[in-house]
Amino acid sequence: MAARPTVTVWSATGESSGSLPLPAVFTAPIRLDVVQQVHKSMNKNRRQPYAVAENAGHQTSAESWGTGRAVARIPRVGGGGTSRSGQGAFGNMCRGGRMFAPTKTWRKWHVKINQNQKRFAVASALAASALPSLVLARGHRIEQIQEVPLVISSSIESTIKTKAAVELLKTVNAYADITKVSNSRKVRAGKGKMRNRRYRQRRGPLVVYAKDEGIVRALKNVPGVETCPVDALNLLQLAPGGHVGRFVIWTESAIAALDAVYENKSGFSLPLSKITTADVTGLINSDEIQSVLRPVGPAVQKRPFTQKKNPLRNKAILFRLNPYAKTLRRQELLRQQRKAHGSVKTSAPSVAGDKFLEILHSA
Amino acid sequence: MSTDLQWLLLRQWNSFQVKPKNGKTFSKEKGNLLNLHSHKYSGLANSKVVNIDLAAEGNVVITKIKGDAKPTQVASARTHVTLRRNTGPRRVNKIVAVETAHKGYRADLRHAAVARASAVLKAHKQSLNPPKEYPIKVRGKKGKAFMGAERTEDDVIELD
Repeated sequence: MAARPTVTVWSATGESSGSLPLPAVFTAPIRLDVVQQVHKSMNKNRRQPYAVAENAGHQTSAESWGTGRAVARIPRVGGGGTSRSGQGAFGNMCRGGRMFAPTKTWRKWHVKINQNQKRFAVASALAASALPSLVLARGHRIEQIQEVPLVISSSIESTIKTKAAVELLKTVNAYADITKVSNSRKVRAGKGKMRNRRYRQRRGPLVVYAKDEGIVRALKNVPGVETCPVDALNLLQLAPGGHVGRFVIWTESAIAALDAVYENKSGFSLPLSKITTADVTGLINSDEIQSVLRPVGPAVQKRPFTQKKNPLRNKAILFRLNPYAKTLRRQELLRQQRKAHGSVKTSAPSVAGDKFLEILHSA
Repeated sequence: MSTDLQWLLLRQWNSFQVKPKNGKTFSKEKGNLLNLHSHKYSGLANSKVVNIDLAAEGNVVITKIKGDAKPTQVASARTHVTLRRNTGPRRVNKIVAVETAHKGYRADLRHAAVARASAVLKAHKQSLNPPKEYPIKVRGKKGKAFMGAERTEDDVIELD
């Protein structure tokens, strides 16, 4: 097996200042289906119950008029003197009636998720965050950064000022992603505007730290940047929208602690890939496969678009389809030849014998 | 992770893809020479990728992912070749073809790369001197009379 891959640690001034072995979780298999399913369920667990009023549409003393009045038998509001009297009530098809299947507060809002499934999903999302192509595909602007996962020395955990934190993001070339977030800020469509969700914007980098010594507050007001302690990694942050490949910035102590974090999870072992080599072209071209394959034969020139030939007229095609036709034809030719030479036995049909005729006529 | 698996992860959804109502799905990431959503042309799910772009002042920049780059490298995995704007189009095409196909890089992309280089140059040329707009040609006596006639104020329809 190859040497364990390493990850470079960058100092706060942007130079490489050593390296660390890549934690094992980054080689976990990436299962989009698991991530999506867990994300969907987790997203549901933040919901607050809502329902229409229990008595909505039933606050009238309407009764059906019964048959015989040439109107539908729906309950109708009684009395007179107002436009409401005589109108249908209660039914979901009526104006002022209750809705169909009124919503209840006791709907099943929350979904239980198996703990190890959640851990699997987080491991998958972490593994995806270490692949540049997947991080790019999520839409993060990481073209200028040196490496993913981007690990910065632990001194940044004690950054207190936002200005210094922004400066840091600029030195590691991560600021392009924040510019993208700033530019994406739009007023939300719909009622959310008046419910403290006025703006919507993209997600920027996620900063994972081991110990908060001011970094959380320093980054709080940087657009799109989120922070997370390494022992409480959250799928909703690692795979927003169920799409893996969040741009994660690690502090050195956070990534160093990651192996220990996973060892401490009792009853959980990191998922392993089912196959070690998933490189199909590499497999096909490997010596082991190529050595047992038959050598390539001579090139066969195929003529795919030739004219269709009628086997009833074209002998060559006929013989290819029916080899016995050749024998038949040859026999026939030979017979005709013999006939022409007069060598064919011409046995004239004999008349019935005298004896036979005698018996025949005697009766 | 192999590029085959990466493509499977990117294929279903990625932020660069453009799905038209009907027809082929396109993709607008860098390094996709035909902008087609496919494994072969993908600028993401390949270890060897060629990008041809127009930089400032009409320079053509060829960007490649280094063959010996680590899979986790991003900016440092890429090399750039800049062709100055006074490089002629035929020479640009030649260099693009060599950069793409030689030394076992991506011979399968040679045609697409040359086509893209040509298109990039053509677009640049057009943006430098946009096609001239000619006045409408007036034909015949009636036309001349119509065009030459003095318009009174009543004829002019004012749009608010």
